[in-house]
Amino acid sequence: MIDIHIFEGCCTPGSNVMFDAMHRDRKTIFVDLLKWDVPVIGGQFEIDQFDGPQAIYLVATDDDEGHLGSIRLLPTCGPHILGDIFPQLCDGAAPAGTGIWEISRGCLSPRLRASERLHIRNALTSAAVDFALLHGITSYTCIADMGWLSQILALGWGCMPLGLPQTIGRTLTGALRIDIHGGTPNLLRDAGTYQRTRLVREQQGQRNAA
Amino acid sequence: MRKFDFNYFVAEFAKATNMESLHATLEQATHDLGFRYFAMGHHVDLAIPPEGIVRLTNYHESWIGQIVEEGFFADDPIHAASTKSLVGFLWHDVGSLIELSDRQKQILETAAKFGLATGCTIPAHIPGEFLGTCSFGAPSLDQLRDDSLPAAYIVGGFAFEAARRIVRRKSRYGTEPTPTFTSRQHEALIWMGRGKADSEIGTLMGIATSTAHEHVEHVRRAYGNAQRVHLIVRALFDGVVTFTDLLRR
Repeated sequence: MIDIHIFEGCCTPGSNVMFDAMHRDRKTIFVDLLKWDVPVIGGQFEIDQFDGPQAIYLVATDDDEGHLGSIRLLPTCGPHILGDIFPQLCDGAAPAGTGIWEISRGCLSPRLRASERLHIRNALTSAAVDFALLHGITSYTCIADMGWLSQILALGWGCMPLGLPQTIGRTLTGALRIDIHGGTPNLLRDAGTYQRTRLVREQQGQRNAA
Repeated sequence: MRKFDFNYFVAEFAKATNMESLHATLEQATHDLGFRYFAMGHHVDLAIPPEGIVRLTNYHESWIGQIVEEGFFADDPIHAASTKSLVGFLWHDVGSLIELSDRQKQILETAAKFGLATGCTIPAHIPGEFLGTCSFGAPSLDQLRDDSLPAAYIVGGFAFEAARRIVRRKSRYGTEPTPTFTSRQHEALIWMGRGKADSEIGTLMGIATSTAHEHVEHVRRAYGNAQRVHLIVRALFDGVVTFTDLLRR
């Protein structure tokens, strides 16, 4: 069973080995590979305005605190990507409330092999579902490149488009609402993607002043 | 123009419990998108389709007959193009994705006679499964909506997932666990996929030929004593190794 580490609040660069590794992998994936127009700090860390004290991170690591994969959760009561940057992806208002959190920056280490990628992806997804059930989160929202739609749906959880996809930059991008309830782990089991994980709450790192 | 009601179709796809109701909903969605025909499925040999695959279409029966009898599916230019693309494409752009052979041009011309002069295809590739697509065709693009392509993504994505769910509940397909390997066995598998013999694998991994042979044999046993070519195909199919592992790194 794999451990998924839960961090509340972002650590400033240089203060936490694991966080530095995550921000470095995020830079490789989102900036170097996918060519996203997002800020890079110190030439090596992808850190944006939402990496603050309000963000929660679910992180898979290897034995040496190396980063294997992670996702970021943002409360929709505060600033978040869909509500603040891409509200046009929703037909109505972007969903917001205490029980709704946004998933973003889903990132797998580029060093992982194909089989490990699936394993870590499934573990992070399962952990996000377990985390939601433990903390009264009833829906996640996310923004997705439509090339990934089939794979997001194939995880087995219940998804609902929030609007028709639109072209952003060079990719067709859409917003989804993912509903989480007591039956969701079984939906994942049915789809063959559920993995038991141990959620490990980490000592809160040094928080950003932001 | 009336907005495409994706909420209705996504709800209907989620409710579908059998292929008949899914077929009816998909046909209605196809019409609302401004197309006339749909074909959704995994890419397999249609003359001897394996069990547990998705195959749903309202293409003209004589066209389907011709596809199967003449083996068109094996050279289908649309399917070939879809392997080159993670994103949806219009059929008239196929020439920019692949170089069309004379036979493929002939297939496109013949399809046009069955009301499939134009259309779009949405890939629905899932690691560990046959490649899948959802295609929408029509005699012309006259009825097409401004938002047809983005809406086709939603329809294709959710319809395919509904079909996968229905198939899964009907068969044991997908429940057989993928074998797991140690990192050394996995490395040996990759070298095997790159055409190396046991002795070469030993040298490359810095181990004895006999140890390399043991790794190779373990992988073969995990795949039911499969021969090398077959087990490499299986490992690619399962997503245990990728084309990148074998060709690019």
